[in-house]
Amino acid sequence: MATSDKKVEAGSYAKASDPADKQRRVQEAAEKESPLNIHIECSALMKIATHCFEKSSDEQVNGFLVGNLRPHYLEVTNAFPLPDIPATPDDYQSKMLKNFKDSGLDFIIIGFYQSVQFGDIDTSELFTTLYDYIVSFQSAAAVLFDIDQAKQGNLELHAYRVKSDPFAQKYKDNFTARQLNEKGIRFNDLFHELEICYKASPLSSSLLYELMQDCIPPSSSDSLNILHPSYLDSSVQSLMKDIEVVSQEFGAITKEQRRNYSLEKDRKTLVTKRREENEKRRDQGMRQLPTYTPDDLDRHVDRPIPVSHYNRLVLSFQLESHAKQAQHLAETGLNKMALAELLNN
Amino acid sequence: MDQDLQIHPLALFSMIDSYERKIGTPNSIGILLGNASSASGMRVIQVRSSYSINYQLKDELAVNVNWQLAENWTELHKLTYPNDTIVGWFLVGKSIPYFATIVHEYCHKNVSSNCFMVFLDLSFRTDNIEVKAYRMVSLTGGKIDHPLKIGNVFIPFRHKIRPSPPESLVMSALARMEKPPRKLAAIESPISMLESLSQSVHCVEDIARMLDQIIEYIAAIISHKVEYPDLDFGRDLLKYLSSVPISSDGDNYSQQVSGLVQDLLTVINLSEVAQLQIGLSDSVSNLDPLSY
Repeated sequence: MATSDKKVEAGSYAKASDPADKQRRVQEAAEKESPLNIHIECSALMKIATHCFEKSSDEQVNGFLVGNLRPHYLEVTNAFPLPDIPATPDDYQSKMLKNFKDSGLDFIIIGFYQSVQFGDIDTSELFTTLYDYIVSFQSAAAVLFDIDQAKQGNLELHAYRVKSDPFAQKYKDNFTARQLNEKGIRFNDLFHELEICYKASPLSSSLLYELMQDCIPPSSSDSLNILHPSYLDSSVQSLMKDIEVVSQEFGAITKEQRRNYSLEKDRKTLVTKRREENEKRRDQGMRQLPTYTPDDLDRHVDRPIPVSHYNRLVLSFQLESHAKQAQHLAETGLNKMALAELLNN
Repeated sequence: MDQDLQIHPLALFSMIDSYERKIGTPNSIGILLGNASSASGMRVIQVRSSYSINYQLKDELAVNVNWQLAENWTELHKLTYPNDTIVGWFLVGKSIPYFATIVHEYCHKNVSSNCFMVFLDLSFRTDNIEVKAYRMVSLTGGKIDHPLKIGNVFIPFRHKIRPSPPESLVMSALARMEKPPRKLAAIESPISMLESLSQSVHCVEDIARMLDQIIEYIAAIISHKVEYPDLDFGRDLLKYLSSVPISSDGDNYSQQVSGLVQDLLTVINLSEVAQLQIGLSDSVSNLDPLSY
């Protein structure tokens, strides 16, 4: 799948320049109570669906979510697209927000939305983008709209928020085994999936009821097809590819761990030999040799470098999401097969 | 040339949203963005989205509208949808105020010639929200060679509400929800298959209803109750009927079905094993003997 070069950048609204400011923002975001779910208004949902459906033929499309941060939930009241043209002005985002403010609408960016195909999430990019949003906006959620499920007639959205502890880790850029163990962070702790709730005012619900009675439905989607082998094939292929990549990553980590173990062993051997040598000299009444300092050891043997598990966590999360997607597609297919058999009989 | 106005539900929901957020005014107004195309001698105008603009009522005869905001909205909207332009304006409220004529005249002269007004009537006189479209025409009087303009009047214009596939998808999904706040996707649903099953049941119910309508129409044609049957419909029906595979061999069919079911079960098994394996590997990887 070709991904758009235009990443949803959080930068222009509020930039955190120095590392101390970044850390302060990350800590403030971590201290705030994490929302458990996300409420999306009907018109915002329709804007997201229309933009993703119409514009994402081969490339990923992005846009911004506008709303409010409530005590226990994120409220999405509006959404606007990020144009996929090279000539998008730098102040596009701020102009849109100013227009929202002038019209009396909410004007706080609380996240972004993206289109995905076959549930294929680029976990690394998602994590980095959400991290940037946290630094700039103190609150962020990513809503992912599945285009292929939409073409089948199923509305499927997923909303993710990054958990606070991985932030601190990302900021320190140091996902070592020790820190992961201390914090109890596992691969499925990278993101927190938010429950999506639909919110509609009485007027919107009334309008929805009226429209469902009267309006002409569009031409049929693929929802009447019993099975979609192409979707299931692509999903399983993504799963197999991920399994291969994750295996390679695990192999690389194991190799690095062995190397570190070997280096540490060599360093300990040097220290032990020096100690034994000094004991002999003490017994013989000779002058003792100086003990090795860490710098001395570094001159003889390389220092072991802590292994970063960031890629492993990200790839493991991606593998799990593809596995769940394939499982979901297969279960849907089984349901339809069972119904088709009943109808046939 | 005949004109056909098609309004998308997204524009209507945005209008409702702007009305609910208005402060200090009995109505909300805004611009309609869309495009026009010609087909079979008919000009089709599609209203795809709407944006609210603010206004100030000086008195009954004077209104100050922020048209600069309308231009800003249009300029930014065109970056994503370059074919869209302003095709009219909207008014939401319980009645059409006098200043609507002033706004429409300005819109017609300076913003979009041949513009429409879409009025979302929230008076509930007919117990429903009514969507009405108008064009403005001038009333003239006096002699034929020296006509005098008396005033302007809004003439109702026929329109249709035509949802696009994504809009239809959202509306049908939301209409199936039970009560607000409605859940689009539960994260830890204890039986995840139930959601897709209920979706499939709804699809089957829709199919049954559509089949009943088709059978009723065919019966009416056969009994000559329909004077001019739709030939295109007949051709489409024949095409769909001929595309359905008919398996005369029952055993072969059940063999194929069981083969497919086995494939799907294999995929489910593979996914579950992958998830289990990744969980175990994650636990083992953190057991670094050096633990830096």
